[in-house]
Amino acid sequence: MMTTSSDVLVVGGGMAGAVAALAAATRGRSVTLLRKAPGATALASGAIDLAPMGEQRHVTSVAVASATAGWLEAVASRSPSHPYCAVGPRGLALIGDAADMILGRLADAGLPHAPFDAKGRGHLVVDLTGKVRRVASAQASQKLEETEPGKRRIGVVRFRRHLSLDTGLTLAGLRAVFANVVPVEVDWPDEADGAFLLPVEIGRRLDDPRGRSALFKLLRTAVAGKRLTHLVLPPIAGLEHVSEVMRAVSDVTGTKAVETLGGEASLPGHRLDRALSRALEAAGVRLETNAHGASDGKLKRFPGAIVLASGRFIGGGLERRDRLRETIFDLPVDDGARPIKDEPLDVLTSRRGLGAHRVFRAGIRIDENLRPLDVGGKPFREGLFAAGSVIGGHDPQADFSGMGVAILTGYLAGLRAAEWKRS
Amino acid sequence: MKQLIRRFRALALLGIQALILQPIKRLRNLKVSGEARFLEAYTPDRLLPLTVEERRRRDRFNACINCGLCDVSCDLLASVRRSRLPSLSSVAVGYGRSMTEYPFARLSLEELSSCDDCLRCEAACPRGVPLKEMIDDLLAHATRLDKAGFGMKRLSAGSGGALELPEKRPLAAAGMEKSE
Amino acid sequence: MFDLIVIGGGVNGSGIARDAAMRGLSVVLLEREDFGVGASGNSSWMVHGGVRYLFSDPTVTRDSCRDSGYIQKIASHLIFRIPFLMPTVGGRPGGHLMDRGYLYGVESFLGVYDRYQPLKHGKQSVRLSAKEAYDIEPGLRRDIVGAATLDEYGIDAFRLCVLNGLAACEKGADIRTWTEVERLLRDGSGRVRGVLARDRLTGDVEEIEGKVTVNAAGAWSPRLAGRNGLSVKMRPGKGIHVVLDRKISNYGIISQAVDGRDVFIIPLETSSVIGTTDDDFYGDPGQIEVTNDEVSYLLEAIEHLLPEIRKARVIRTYAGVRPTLYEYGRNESDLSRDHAIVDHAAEGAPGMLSMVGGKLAAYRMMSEEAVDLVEDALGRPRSKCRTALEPLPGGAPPLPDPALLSEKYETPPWETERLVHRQGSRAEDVLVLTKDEPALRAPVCQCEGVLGAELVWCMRNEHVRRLSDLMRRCRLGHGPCGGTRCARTAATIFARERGLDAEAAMAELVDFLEGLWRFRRPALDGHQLAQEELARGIWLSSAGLDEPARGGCR
Repeated sequence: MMTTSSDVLVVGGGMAGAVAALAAATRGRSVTLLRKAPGATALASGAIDLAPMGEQRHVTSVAVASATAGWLEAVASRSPSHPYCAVGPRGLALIGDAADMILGRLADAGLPHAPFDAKGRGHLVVDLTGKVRRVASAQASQKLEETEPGKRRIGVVRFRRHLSLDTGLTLAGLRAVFANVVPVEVDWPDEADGAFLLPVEIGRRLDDPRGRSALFKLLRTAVAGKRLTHLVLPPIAGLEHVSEVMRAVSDVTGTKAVETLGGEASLPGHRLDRALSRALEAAGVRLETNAHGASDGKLKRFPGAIVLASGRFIGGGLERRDRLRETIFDLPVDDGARPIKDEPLDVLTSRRGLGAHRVFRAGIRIDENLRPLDVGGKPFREGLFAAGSVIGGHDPQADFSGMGVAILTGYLAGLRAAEWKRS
Repeated sequence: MKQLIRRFRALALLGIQALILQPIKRLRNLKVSGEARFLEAYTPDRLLPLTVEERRRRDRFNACINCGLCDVSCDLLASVRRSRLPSLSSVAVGYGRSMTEYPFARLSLEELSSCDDCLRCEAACPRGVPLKEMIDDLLAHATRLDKAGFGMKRLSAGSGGALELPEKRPLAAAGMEKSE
Repeated sequence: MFDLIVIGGGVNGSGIARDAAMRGLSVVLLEREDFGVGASGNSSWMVHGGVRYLFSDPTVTRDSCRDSGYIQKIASHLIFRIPFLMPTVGGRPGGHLMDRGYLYGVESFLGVYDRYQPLKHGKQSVRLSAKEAYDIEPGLRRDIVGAATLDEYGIDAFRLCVLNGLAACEKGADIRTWTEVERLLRDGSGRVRGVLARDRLTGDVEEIEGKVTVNAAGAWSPRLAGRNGLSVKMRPGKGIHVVLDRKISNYGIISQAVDGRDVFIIPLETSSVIGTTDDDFYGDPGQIEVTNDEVSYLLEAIEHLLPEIRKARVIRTYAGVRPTLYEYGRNESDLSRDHAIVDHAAEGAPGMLSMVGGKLAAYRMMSEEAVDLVEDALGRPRSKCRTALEPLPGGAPPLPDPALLSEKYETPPWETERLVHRQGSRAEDVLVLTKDEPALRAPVCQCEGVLGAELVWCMRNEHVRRLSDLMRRCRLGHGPCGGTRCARTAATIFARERGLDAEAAMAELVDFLEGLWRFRRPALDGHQLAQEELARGIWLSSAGLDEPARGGCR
């Protein structure tokens, strides 16, 4: 079933794989993308983080916080093993092109993002616990519009009929950053088993104009007299029609409405995954399902260029059963500094769970041309390139560079794969 | 000294057991196999043995990370009584874990009786959990409990046909009354 | 001025508090963390009938079995039956006959134990041929000679401690968790007249006076005594357990480790648990850690009988320090006992007793013994102990039918069954909360089937002071996903119930997650790494927990 007629084969359908496939397709190559199932991208928060923007990761006071220029280069220079450094300065310089390409495609696919801003102040986003940070981009619905502090008055919508949509922590967290944050309580979802609905299902309810009218009626009453400038919603503002939903909420309440980042069972992640699929289809990329490694043997014999974007542990690009390994080519794995083989986990992890761990920096090594390296530091195989979190030396979850690395390395790997010709 | 007497008594007990009582017990039990007596003793507590097949399947059921992507994939879920079946992910991380509680989980899964095996839930799973197989496994085991007479729906005389459970530990409870 | 100050919220401390309160004493219980955090909750959760005392003193076996029967009666909802298989592996020197002889020995030994089984409503043991044993447990290695079976019970040991504490509270006892004893208060004659206690969450320090003080601090006892110039001799033993993601069998299996020690795998609640190790431990019992080696040791021991065990998913571990009696077994007359009550009057500190050792199954009996001595020390006549007669909170039969409750309150059936298991006859009181707030019908922890209502009930009625206490009330976060899906929502509810600000709420969330991480870390492998990657994504990039939290416990 797997086509050998394509020029480029991309393994993995997350952000990195999608960017690689789109980049290669843009260069006129025929591309097949092989994916098992949705992976880490479908579970992401929706923010496009490149690195922590500025001194602190979180904004404690918007008035004084401003991003320092050159922080992206700073990440690259501070940690030589980071993919930002491994791709070299010329590679890193293409981050803007890469982001513009993918964000443009996502907008075309119905998921607009805030304009990519890696050099300036970035955009403010709010997470589920009310922490505020600056990101290079995010889904347009997640961008907190900046206004004059004195006039700012933020309402946080709390759905009293649903436990996981209870934004109590968001409210408390925002109060630590901003003055004038008030709850906006609504009794919704107003149906018998509404308490059991999952975020995506609530999103579907809001996609439907009739479904959302009941909520809007409640919201209109709830905000009345509160003189709000902003309205913060949990991440549920529609699955397919997010722009429409957000515009409608803003109109109804007379505020600038914003969604928090996604959390557990993230709706924004799911939205992103669907938009990526639509963008790939629109670009003529062939999508094939590789049911949990069924075609791994065949793909090793693929004659064209391959982009390995198989992810980490969720995606299955890496796996550990007594020994840490890359699952398709058995490429050597390291943490960016030292090889990792069969070290016990107490060596690969540290005491603080929410801190840094070697095992979560694990991945394969690449050269400037995104080619995976073998034990001797030489390219492992002709025509093989790597993208995304299968590359080691960074911790996509912890160091706020996950999506940035996926977009940059995906783009570069896609271009290299498109240029590649069997010698 | 007292200790020695105790020790002697213990050894004597064991000796009598091994030489006299145990052989008698064995003779008395000749007609009923150990397995049959074991099953008779434990089925009322819903403690059935796993079949070879069930045992083998279990090794493939353990990959779920509770990400919730299966819930999103299922069109049927949206139309069931959610207070009976809140999510599909509950099956992998909760319902499917303890065989003694399968009869209760089955009440939830009955909501999925019109499932047409589209298998989109499995296609959506990043970890390759065979969700449909898990559900079938659960239902089959619950049915085995039914057949053994200790499932969930047991009509008992005088209950008016209402749902009735065997008492949670029926024999323990019975024994308790005897001891008082 | 209390009649009795109890130090320690393990099964001994909470059991003593309940017994004393039922006898009409005024009691205060001080626990430095939460119920059962030491040896009690981190035990194997077995209420066994003392089969190992058969050789040394069958009267202990008889008493243990009888007490196990009492626990069934007072906590009928919490207890569950565990059939054990004891397979005999072939290949002994002397050939097949020796193997069969050994099996017959085991069978006869259990035959003696069978005589006491009726006391705890236990099943008679049976002998299984090799083929029968495979039928019952198809995962067994193929060269066993046969197996004998043994009937025991398990219980949620955290809840057993909690319920004793709640029962004491209902009888007027003052229960203070997260309260540490800084030092003993002595009068001029050396008599212990009370303690100086510090609330670890508020920082408040208070002198608490009591006529008698019982030190039931388990592994913490020697330090507590030592700080005050007294002596409690103990030989602490560290024991770890490994928890699998699901019940892989309905039966317990007893296997042998590489060093010949017995190691078992048992079905507990929704999981299978492998235990246990036993190593001398002289560190701080609060800082106990599990190593990769210990996990490997246990897995290898079970692999001996269940060769496929490595395919199972290990989700976490737990560890405790057994407060084993010092020089256990040296004194012949102590051989049959594994607990002792030390009166510190001999050291010039009257008014203070220390309870050392003990086992979960016999806690009620030992508490009775201790409270008898407390009454002696108070100079009042011994009153009748009623702890075997009155049910623990929720333990009074008949238990409600989960299927009917689930229909009535429109809650999911399995989750409702789990609620009835944990709350017993109080389950309906919990579900009534959903009438005012229907959102509480939804499960918060999918893995362990914890409804929102149960969380709120526990927060309001079960001495929950920290979010992490809920792991011990209702197993929150103890399933395969380790809190990934539930912790934020649980923290939200907790913050609401307690009126916490952002900083305090985040500190609770971080404390909860780090507590789980500490014992998940040694077993991190296979699927668990994917689980961890997902959890980190949520906690670090969606919940802003990447910065160390301030506040929390001092």
